[in-house]
Amino acid sequence: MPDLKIRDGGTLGLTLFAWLSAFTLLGLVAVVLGFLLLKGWPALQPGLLFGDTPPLQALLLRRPVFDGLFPALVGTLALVLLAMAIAIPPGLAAGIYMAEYCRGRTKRLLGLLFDILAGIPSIVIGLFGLSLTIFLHRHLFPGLFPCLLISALSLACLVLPYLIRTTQAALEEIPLRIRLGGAALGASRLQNIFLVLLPQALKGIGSGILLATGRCAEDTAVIMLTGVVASAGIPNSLFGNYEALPFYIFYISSQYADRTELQRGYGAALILLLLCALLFLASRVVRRRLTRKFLYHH
Amino acid sequence: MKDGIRIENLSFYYGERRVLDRVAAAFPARAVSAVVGPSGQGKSTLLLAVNRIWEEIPGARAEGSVRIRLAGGELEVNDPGIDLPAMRRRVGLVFQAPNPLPMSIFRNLAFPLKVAGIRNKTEVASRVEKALKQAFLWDEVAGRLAEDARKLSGGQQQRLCIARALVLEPEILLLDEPTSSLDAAAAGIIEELISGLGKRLTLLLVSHSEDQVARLADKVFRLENGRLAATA
Repeated sequence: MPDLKIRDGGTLGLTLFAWLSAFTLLGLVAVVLGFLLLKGWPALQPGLLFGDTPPLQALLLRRPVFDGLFPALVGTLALVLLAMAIAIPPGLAAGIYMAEYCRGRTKRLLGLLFDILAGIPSIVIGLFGLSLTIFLHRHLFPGLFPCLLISALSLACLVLPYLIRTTQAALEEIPLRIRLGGAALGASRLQNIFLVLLPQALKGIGSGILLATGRCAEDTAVIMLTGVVASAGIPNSLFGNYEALPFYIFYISSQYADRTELQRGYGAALILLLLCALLFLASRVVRRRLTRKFLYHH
Repeated sequence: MKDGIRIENLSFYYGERRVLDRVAAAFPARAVSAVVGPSGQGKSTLLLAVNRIWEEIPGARAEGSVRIRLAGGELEVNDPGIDLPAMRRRVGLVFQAPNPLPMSIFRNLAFPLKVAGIRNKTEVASRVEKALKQAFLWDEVAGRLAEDARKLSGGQQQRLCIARALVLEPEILLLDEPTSSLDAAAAGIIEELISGLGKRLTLLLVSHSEDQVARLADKVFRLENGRLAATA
């Protein structure tokens, strides 16, 4: 019986620690959200987004918005969608390759490289984007300057390792009996991957995409070196400058002139959080629909 | 009686561990053959070698010859040039633990047809129904084909897996302890099914139950210490 007592004590301690950790985490989230709501709530008015421009005119892109966050909101959305569109195909393909085809020393080496890439600070990725732009500007495309496309490409590099590793992990954790089940029914390697394994791994892959989306939406270091500016209006070209919410939050919080401006910064942070929440929700809906379509419809 | 499956000098390894040691046997066509023996002797592994599904298991390796008789002639399974998916469509395998794919009941049965290139919806639906009826499952699932197959009971899942193997109308069927996790009633249904199938397919059954083998098998082999021998 002494053994049991020790184990019970250990289990109790571990359970308490787990609960404490969970409450601390939830508490921290609540504190951050509460603080932002407290500080930013008064700024949450149509004027914050559209300034003096009538909202409908702004939404229909008939009149520019000069004193509102609408261009930054659209810029962030465009940046995130473009970066994810660039990163998802190679990210998924590389994850599939790592899980299903790559073996032995090559797998270990590539895994190490992806982990190193994941650990590179975003400011370094930003510098890489800037250097690439300068190189291309000098040698190939004289008309190219830091712009939306360069920012999106740099962000895609930033999130690529997340996508690769989460796709790989999601595929590798599928039980062997499911893998063998598909193959034993006459599915080729490719059919097994696309018809059995990928639909089964959608949940894990979706989580990776969610993480990467959040990372793209919040990153400031990369974009401030590769094309974001304080005032550019709605982005109208891949090769033009643009505004973005995280950059607005950064510069308004470091250069605010009065209390109202700081309040607008908090308001912008709330809008950024809301945008992220909407993107997360959209990804969940897409994932659920894909799962139903691939696995349950006749 | 012609041989449906002929194994010669077959050795099988998981990494460095040898599970089968130069095994040889001939299993008759259109009959039920059974392999019995203690647990952990490589009975399931023997089935994995017949349709070369072991290639999907990291670290697994086989040496030797496995020849199978299909309509159109004999085929060496370990020939590196054969079309593996096409061969596996003609050599069905039902695993010991039911392994419904994480999709609907209907999709589980339509899946092998889809990968075989059969897309006509009417044909798919009729073959799905036929296979479910063969496995005595149709009456229980007819109204809930869009449900997740993993929600079926253990016995129903096993019959679903048998139906899924039958939907392609294979010429050889490999069954790995198909009743090991079932109650007596469900096991009885599956034994009845096996008896019926044995008259028209080459059926290789792995079982730990000597009684079951005595009821079902036309020919019995014993696998022990990596060696396979026909019993009386």
